[in-house]
Amino acid sequence: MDKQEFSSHISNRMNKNLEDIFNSILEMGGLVESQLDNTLDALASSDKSRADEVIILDKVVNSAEFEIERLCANILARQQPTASDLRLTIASIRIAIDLERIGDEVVKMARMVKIFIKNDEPLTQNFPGYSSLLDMSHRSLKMLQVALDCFARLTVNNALSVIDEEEIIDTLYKDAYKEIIQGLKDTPNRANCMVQMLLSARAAERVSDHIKNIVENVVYLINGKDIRVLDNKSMIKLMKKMERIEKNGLN
Amino acid sequence: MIKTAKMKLADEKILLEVKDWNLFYGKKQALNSVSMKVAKNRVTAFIGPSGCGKSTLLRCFNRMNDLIDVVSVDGEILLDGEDIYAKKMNVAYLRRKVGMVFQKPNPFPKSIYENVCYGERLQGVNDKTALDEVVEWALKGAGLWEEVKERLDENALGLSGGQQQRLCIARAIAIKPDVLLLDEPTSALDPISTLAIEELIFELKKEFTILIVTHNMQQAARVSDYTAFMYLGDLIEYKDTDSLFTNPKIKRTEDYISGRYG
Repeated sequence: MDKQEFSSHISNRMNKNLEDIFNSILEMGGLVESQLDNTLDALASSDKSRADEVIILDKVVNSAEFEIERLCANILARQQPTASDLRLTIASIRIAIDLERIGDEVVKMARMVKIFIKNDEPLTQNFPGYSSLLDMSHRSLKMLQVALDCFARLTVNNALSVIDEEEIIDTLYKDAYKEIIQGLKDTPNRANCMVQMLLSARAAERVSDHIKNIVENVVYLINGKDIRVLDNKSMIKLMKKMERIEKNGLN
Repeated sequence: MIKTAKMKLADEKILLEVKDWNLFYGKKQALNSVSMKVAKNRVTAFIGPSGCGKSTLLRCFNRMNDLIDVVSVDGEILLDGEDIYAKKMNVAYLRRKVGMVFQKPNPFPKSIYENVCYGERLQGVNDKTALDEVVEWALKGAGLWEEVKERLDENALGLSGGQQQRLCIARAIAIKPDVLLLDEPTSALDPISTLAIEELIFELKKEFTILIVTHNMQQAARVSDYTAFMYLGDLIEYKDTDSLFTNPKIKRTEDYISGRYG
């Protein structure tokens, strides 16, 4: 599949509408990527101003989702897109929702940083769950970059790494969960911060789920297959096949 | 973030204004107190079921209804502030300002060249260079030049349906009207010719104000900036096409555009 497909219609307006949708997703993706990047900074150095930036940026991300929804509703109502155009429209609506949710999740993490600062609780490796949270966030940022790159280039190249990473993050979350519960038992007087850490770890795990959804939607966009219904094994098999086709053509 | 501002009639330059317009075929009233403003350099579409009055209203803008004996009208239609039904209005002058293209392509049984410069010749222009320029400009404007430039002397009836319709559009724009009325211009054409004409309409609005009557709702959605929904001679809802097709305010409009009418 080639991006040119979206700009080769007789109707220039159709071309423009599809390009607008496509570019809006990339732009919104860029916003969420910088939100996640700022979250990492805030987490790593207990940086309140970075945390504030994440929270402020969320409003921009929310309005980006509205705008994409509006663009998609208009193209559906006015241009009656079909085939890959229709898939782009549907995939974009779904991707915008996932991006917006990622924004919501990272805001939870940014709020946690502020609560720690307020409670004079330093964010250090000793705090239960913290190192897992950092690891999860790092991995999520890389996953998001890969997912957005897949969308931008209409390729599944590297997309498998997102599926693998999501599983690793699930395990990291389970570890963090155990650590935090133990921490709660050991130092109940720090319960407020412990609960915040648990919520953030949960948020980081959700971020990776949403990124996986984005990749699933890129697969849907490229070949029309809905891989959400597949188990991981079949998903990986299909994506490997798509990678092969991308590389060598249909033969 | 890409943000396309919503169109609003209030922000537009108005070229045509219909005020309290009534039309009767004998005793039967076909248009009931229609009032609307038409934006300049925009495409305005009229949709509605058969007999709703959309073609009747379109024909009022160049006084085509004058040709029907039993028609009587009441109200005002202003073109650039000028009452087109005023006694002093020269109808030939009006029809030069307001061109029209019909449902079926109707080229004259003449050459492609003569079809396009027909209006100019009627106005007494006979200078070959001037006519050549007009023919090339109009055919380019109608997106037909590349296909016919080598055979301008051939009979227009030898063109395909889609080409004939674009020729009729070229003939209509050759005299540089302000307004172009299109009465179901693609209903006799295949889907690809239809898309070509729709694209042309989109391009032509840069120079002309276009009013289009169509039975094809999707076509109205694709090509127009503003849409008017009519029903039994009433103008039910009239607003920017984005809003009308995504969020109509009146139930009857919603029923019609979503296929629940009837």
